Amino acid sequence: MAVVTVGATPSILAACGGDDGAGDAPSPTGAAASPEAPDASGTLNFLSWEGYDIPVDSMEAWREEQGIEVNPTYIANHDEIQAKIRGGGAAAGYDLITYYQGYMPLYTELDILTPLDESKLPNLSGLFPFWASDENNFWINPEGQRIGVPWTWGSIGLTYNSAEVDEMSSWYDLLDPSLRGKVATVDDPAGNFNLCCKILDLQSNEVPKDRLGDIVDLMTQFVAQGRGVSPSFGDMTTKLVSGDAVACFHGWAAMNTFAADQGVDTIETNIPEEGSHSFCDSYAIPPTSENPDAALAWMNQALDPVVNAEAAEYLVGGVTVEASVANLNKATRDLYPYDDLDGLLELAPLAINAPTESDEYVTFPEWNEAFQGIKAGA
Amino acid sequence: MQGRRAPVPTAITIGALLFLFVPLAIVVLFSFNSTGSLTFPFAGFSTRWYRQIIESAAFRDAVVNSAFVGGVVAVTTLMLGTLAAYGLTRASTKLRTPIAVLLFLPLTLPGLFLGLSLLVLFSRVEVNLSLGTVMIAHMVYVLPYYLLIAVAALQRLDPALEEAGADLGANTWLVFRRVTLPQVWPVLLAASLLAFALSFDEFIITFFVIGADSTLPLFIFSTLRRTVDPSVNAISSLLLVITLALFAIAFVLTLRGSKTAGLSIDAEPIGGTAR
Amino acid sequence: MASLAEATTRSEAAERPRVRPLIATLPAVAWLLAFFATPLVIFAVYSLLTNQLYAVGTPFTLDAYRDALTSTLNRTLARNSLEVGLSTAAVTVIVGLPIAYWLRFVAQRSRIAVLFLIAASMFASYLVRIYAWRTVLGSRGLINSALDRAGLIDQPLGFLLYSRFAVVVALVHIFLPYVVLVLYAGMGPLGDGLLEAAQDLGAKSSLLWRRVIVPIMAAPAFSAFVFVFILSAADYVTPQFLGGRDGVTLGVQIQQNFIGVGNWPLAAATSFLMLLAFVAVFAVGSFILRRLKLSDIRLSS
Repeated sequence: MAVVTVGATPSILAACGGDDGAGDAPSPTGAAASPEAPDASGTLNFLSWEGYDIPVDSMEAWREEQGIEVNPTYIANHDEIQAKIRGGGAAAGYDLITYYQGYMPLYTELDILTPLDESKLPNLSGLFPFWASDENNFWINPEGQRIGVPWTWGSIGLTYNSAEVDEMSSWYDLLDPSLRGKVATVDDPAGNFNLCCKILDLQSNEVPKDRLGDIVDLMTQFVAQGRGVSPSFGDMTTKLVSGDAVACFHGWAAMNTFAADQGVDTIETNIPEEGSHSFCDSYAIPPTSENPDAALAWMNQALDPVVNAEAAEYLVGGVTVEASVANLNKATRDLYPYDDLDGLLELAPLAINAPTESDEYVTFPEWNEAFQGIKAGA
Repeated sequence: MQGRRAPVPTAITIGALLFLFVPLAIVVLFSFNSTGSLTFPFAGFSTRWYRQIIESAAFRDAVVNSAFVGGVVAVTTLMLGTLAAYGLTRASTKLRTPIAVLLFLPLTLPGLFLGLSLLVLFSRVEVNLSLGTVMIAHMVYVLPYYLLIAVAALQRLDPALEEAGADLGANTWLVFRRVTLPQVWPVLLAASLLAFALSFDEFIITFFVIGADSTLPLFIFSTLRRTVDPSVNAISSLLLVITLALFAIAFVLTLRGSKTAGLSIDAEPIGGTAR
Repeated sequence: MASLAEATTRSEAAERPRVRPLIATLPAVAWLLAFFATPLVIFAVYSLLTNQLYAVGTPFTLDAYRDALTSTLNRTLARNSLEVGLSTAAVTVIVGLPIAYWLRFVAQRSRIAVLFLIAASMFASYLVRIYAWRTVLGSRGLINSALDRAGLIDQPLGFLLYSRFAVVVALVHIFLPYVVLVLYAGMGPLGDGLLEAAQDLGAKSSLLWRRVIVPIMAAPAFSAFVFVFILSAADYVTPQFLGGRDGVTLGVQIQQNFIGVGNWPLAAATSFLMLLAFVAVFAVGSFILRRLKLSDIRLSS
């Protein structure tokens, strides 16, 4: 398989309110609520990653027009979402959350995703075919109800400092003795698991229990090449910038930009021959929502071609709406091969997390415990 | 024995001061870095990070929330804590011990415990997480610290004055108001400023019991996790300046308070040599 | 004259137990019973229930305790926590004593300024301090850059960061001011008058130290030690940013169990086992102190 280079090295400043040179003037063409979209206003209690509340010009303009106030709670870790919704009593009535596709089975089991009224989501028609269909039930549950709206995505790759090392064609190149102590890994149990499975050519949600040891061994080798597991991607970036690491296992193209913001513009990301996996974040509405109409309107607006593009530039990610590709600036458009999305997504498929309970397959809690042990060097 | 020459303790003290302040100086230094890097070499001076955070609505909201929570916590701790300190120091019965143990126990438990158990409580009784639950949690956390100071201050007062007041026919409340309080109010105020500062900077417990709003430490934490740039340093430098100012006020009040009550910073026991 | 009056009043007062003032403690007591004791009890009950993925349910079981105790991971983490806690506590107390001594006996006009500085350093934000140490200890950080510039090393010192060393350094930085203040306050009874009196009575310097100063300082030093030990052993944020692989502590695992895995009974069981360990350390320490008869001298307070 060809090595796919992901991500140029632009110096896009992800600053709010800055002009990111999106080519066309950012006057929101689809900003006015279309006839079928709900008339929504009020407060939107939002629980997700920072930046996923889309603080870009076009969205802000629409938000003000609609009279929606966003009250964000930013998470540091995906698991905080389910922990807060399940653990925090009625959890302050969050209206809008996101989930990445691998978490769909767990969130369904925990009853966190409510069915969405598609008649209030007219912009769904603009999705790429890939994101409109759903064989893996990431966004449409087995009963045929839509529970998620995919709006941003990215692919995991091997991030490295091109000034210190050359591009590597295989993940196993990271295990080279010359890189000892200089490879960063990140505290993302699900992501690491999915990546290791891909490298070992296993299907992540159907790994026979007797293969867990192989995955643990592989992960241990990568972790041993570094100096402890970073708590976040931002932290891995810091290590690259400070020189404490020269390459990352389970990296991400957005890190190229994060590093450039800190003055190091030689960070690149590629997908080695064994492949990797992609993540796609979708908006969803938890059962505790008190303002579902505003949430639906928000989701719909996130799929507007202008907004979807501006969001992707801000987050250094991908767009899910076909028409928005034309609105992207060159650097963001070069991140992913939009003319051959199928090819990319075969090399780096959207992974499914391991099940929470199973008698024959490795379960997520089993892996999680093993991963904690790997982190602690036990 | 005062003022003797002792090179080793002096050296250690100087070393400790350097140790304590060099990292803080680095935090402030890099808050002015012109690039987004947090590693040496220092690139040049710029105030862009300060501008960035001041313009950030999320930052402003977090500051307001932290201040609001801190204020409520300081005031309620002042009330509850002063009463409790008074009760502890003016009573003399065996019953005092278990009460004192209960009141000081939160000091010994890590924030992780307090946070988790309160989260469990709130989830059990189905109370929404919010700034209110944060205030509740902070009061539990802060109370023992307040008590430490208040109890010490009340204990150092000369009980003869209060007894004289009581003998002259004043009831307990009047004695407290007219005799005790005037002597200790600076220290109590200082202790409540400390309560404010503790609440303002609290992170671990807050993380578990907060709802959709954010406090400043949580804001910093989420920034640290996503991308790391000197805006965090800018926030922290601002925080440092604010809390230092508060602390300076508290410090001065404590000094004044000690003088008023006939104490001095030299920690001499009352009435001359103890016997 | 004051002390005589004091003594008379005190001995009279000592005879009547005064219970009524305790009423003033009721609001605080009620608050803590509701929001401290009750949650802990519920949390303890959780440790005995069955895990139901971000929820708990009957039947009651000791599974969580069994899992917590038999896990080899926990054993490693417990050992890490113990070492981090003991190291931090030991360093802060050992360094804090000479500083408290300096403040009490050596300092003159600079005492207030130094006290202020030491106490003020406590108010730097906990999180940002952790990050500041990365700038100081990193491979292109302050120390390594300086050593490199001075030609003393040609490879950056790796052990400085992502190691237990870094975790302990950061924790000492956080707790040293508390310890100094506690020790300094503990020196209160060591008034000039007391020491001069003892010396007048013929006590030699070493005897002074052994029978007066050390016993008086033993209690505050011990409580400072235990306080720092507990809080640093349970810390879980510092290890995540500075600890590398050696510095992962039990607190991290507890947090992970609660949030990441959703196994609340296990998180609760591990927490209480950790608490038990703290109590044990405290009990052992107190026992040792008593055996060494370091609580000979008792002063009225």
